[in-house]
Amino acid sequence: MTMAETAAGTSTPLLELRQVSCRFGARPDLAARIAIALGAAKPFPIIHALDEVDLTIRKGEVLGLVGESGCGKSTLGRIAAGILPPSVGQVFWKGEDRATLRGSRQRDADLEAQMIFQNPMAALNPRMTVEKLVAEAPSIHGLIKGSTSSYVDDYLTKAGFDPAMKKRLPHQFSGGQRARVNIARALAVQPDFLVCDESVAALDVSIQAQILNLFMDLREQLDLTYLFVSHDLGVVEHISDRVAIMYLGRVIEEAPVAEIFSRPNHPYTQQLLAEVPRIRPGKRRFAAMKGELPSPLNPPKGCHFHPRCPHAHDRCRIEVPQKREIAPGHVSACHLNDKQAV
Amino acid sequence: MTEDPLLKIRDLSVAFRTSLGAAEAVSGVDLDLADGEVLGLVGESGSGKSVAMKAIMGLLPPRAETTGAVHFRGRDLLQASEREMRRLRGGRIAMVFQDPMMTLNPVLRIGTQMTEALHAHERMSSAAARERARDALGLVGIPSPEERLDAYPHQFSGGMRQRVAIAIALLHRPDLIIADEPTTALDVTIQAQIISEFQKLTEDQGTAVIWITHDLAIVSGLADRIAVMYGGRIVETGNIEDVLVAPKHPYTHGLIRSVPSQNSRGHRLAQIPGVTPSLARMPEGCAFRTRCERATEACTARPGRFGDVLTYHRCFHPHEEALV
Repeated sequence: MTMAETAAGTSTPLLELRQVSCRFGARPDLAARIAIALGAAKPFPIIHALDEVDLTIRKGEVLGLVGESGCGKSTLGRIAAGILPPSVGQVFWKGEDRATLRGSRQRDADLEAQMIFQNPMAALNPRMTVEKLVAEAPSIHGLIKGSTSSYVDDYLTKAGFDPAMKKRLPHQFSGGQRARVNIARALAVQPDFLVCDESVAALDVSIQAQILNLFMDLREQLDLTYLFVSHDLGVVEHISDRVAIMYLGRVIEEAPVAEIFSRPNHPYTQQLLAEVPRIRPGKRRFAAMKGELPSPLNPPKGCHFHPRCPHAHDRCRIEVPQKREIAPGHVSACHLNDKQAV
Repeated sequence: MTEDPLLKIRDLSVAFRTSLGAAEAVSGVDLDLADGEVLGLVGESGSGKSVAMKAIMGLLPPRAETTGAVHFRGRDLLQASEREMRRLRGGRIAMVFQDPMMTLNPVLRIGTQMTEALHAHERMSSAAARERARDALGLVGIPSPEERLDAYPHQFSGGMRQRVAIAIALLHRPDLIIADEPTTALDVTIQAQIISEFQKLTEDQGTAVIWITHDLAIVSGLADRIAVMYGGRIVETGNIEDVLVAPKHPYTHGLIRSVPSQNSRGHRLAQIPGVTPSLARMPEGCAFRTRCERATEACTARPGRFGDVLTYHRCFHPHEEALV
């Protein structure tokens, strides 16, 4: 973007989510509302995908977002990328409330945050050539000054994709190459911020290493900020500066990467990190966390983790634990921290 | 090792006839497996690991040409009649697949599917079969197994479904279980649960396991031995600790170094250049030579087996030193 915004963002965070909640569910019509009020029908089920999440992303950092499937990490990624509006709460982009932006400011904010999706094939229109896929968004938004062809070549090269193959269709490429096309397409609108939703999950180990290296190179070249959503703890540990752990719609712990892997505080984080797959010769017992993620239709009261937590006490079943800073930059939401403080 | 291993594979090759000519998906696989041993079969997609295992089970389509020998308890499975194979499959050799939703019939209750598997191999009363099925569900850690027998697959979560699939595989106390990426579709925590159940059960029953995966980290804690496949060939096999500490083949070497870990934080990952060649365009000689930095003129010839059947590699220029 040619907007004069470079001065901003030195102290204001790039993206800030304040008390963001997101709920999915059918809205009852009038007849249904009356039936529910009279007790003749059950209320419609509502999925609490996100529950009062606060999250801050500073310019230039890589924030890793970790959690089990169904914990709401993709929903959070979509809200961060601006694809999905929150049900409740505010999203601040470079210090401005995204909901209040209008016109060209809104368009700029939308372009500055881009998302790279999990399934590289599903994200590409199978009937468009690579060239068209990459050129589509920037030409609509008038970002291309000069020839489209060289603009596309430039971004394909940045993503490590040979521009000589740009006339081909997505199905003619391997998973790794498709991932590169998706990256080129996201980069082509010149974003500041990329949300990578499980972007390397579908790739083979040797290809995954290539793409992870590409992400790191691009970060330096283009001064990018990342929200890296993944269930793969090894990948997150490798790429992130800071890590946020999610459990059933809430961010329960947040800390710099070295801190969280060496001193996890929340019992869930401790158990989760014990499962980090590492290449460690020698047979070992796989210690298993009990139970599964509860349904987001009917989350447990109090701390969401209490049914699986070995340290759960009465307070955990009633009261939602508040986040507390337990070390510089290390925030955790667990009642045990209050106990230790007393 | 005893003289007669449980499974003895010699020069197993599988070729598919295609319009582009024969594509050799598996080529010259030699492998031994002893009773109760856990082998990790590691490779990327298209390396031929699943095809090789399906060839053992006789599950490949007729257009696949399988050659070589697969001896299971001394009997060559490739020569066995279909009738004999049906007795072995699900009885002495069981398989667990990646996606339990594909293994389970969506319109039958779990109990029906389990007793069906029992009746296929043993004569027993319905009540006895139901009891065995219930015990098997309890064994894999499914709560209130009696009621769950009457549930349908869609009423289970992914992890629970995989437990059911494992329970079915274990029904007849097989000698060998082939597990084809059984935890790939699951969350880390659920994955750990499944592996821990699997470990307990197979150890108790002395079952040999071939665990097919692309994840070196899982194999490192689970297996006794490892076999690494690339381009349809086993490029390296041996004791798990030896291979992970001092991999000889450049592919194994590169694979281990490309896994992100705590030590790689902030650094570039070591990457293997290029992509896996397609089966139809496999380079002559060593399949890995086009991506290998140690490749020389010699590699255009096909590397033989360097070492005995339990510990070997296929490389003219192996790494000698251990990984740091």
